[in-house]
Amino acid sequence: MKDPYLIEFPTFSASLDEDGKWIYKSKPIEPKKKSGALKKKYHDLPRVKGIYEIENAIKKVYLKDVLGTSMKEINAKLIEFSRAKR
Amino acid sequence: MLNAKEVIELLSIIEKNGTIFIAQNLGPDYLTNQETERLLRIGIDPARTYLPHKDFIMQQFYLGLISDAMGSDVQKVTLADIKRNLKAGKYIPQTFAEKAAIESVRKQFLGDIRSINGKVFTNVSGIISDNEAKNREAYEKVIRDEIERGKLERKTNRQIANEIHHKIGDWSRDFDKIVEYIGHQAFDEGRAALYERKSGKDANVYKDVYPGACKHCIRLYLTAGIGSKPVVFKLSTLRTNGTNIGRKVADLKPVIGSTHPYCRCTINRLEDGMIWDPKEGRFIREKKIKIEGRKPVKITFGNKVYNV
Repeated sequence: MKDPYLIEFPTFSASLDEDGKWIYKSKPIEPKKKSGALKKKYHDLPRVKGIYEIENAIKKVYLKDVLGTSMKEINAKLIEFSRAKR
Repeated sequence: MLNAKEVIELLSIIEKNGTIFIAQNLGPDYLTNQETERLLRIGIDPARTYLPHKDFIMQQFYLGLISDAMGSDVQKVTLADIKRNLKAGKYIPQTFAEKAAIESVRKQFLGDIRSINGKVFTNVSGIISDNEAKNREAYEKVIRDEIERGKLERKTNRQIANEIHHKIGDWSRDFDKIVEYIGHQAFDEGRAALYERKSGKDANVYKDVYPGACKHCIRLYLTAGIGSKPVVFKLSTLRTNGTNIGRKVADLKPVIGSTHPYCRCTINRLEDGMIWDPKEGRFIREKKIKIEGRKPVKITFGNKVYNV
């Protein structure tokens, strides 16, 4: 039977005993979800090997060809600009 | 301090590489006339850069198309196999509906790529102006001292380069999210295309919802929580629902592809004569039936031949 005097708080509960005293009980603390935990859970789901390979191949292309190349070219330009102003 | 021309020169690098990526991975049809002209001016012919067997949407679509017929053998399929088959023209000719489905996924990818390239552009532009603003006071103090001014300019440029470098991680993660969404979309569209060929637009379909799936997928695709009987839809219903892009969580609808980013729920066909077995937790064949009418299409993978 549900305790009519039970009050639930986020981290503890309080209830009255027969003598009219409040009894406090702490609740187990759940570890905080780390960022990316949800994503990791989805990554653990069964998937076809080919899918991973296709995804990784295109990710590599973008990282290398778009971001990597752009950053290299920007660095080279910045050095060029600095030298030109010496 | 970088002058306006130098800033434009830096930002145009990002635009150029983004445009090359679109030309190589989606094809010249997805470029504007200005972009095509710009690539031609630097000696890149967009018409020659696109290779269909390297198109990741096509690869995922094709893998989806053959995955149902291959059963558990699909686990062994590698990217090299897919590329080889696509290059050799061993894919099933596409119907108008299939071409439209691929086109729709490609357009979605194009929008996402333009958006992420725009973000990179804005971020780099912001980093340049922030660093210059930070060093403006110091710059004004040494404006008459050529050596000190040179030192400060080099320091500012180094700071800009460092900050841009640190941003790569963020952009890369954004791109990963896009790829996984679009990739799964194309994979499921491939599977849906096969079901439509086999059983028509109103084929009965459901989603395989894995343990660990989100509450939205459980709500949309299962009748009573994880492990329960899936909701059976008409393929045409899911197609009508389009995609969930732009919908609020409460308004998510059951769709063919990804329900949300990182969604792994996979579309499956409910063949005639299949019934739900609560003990097994899956659909099983009630009795052996013979599917008549269509001649199966053969696909060769290595030494094995599969009937699709």
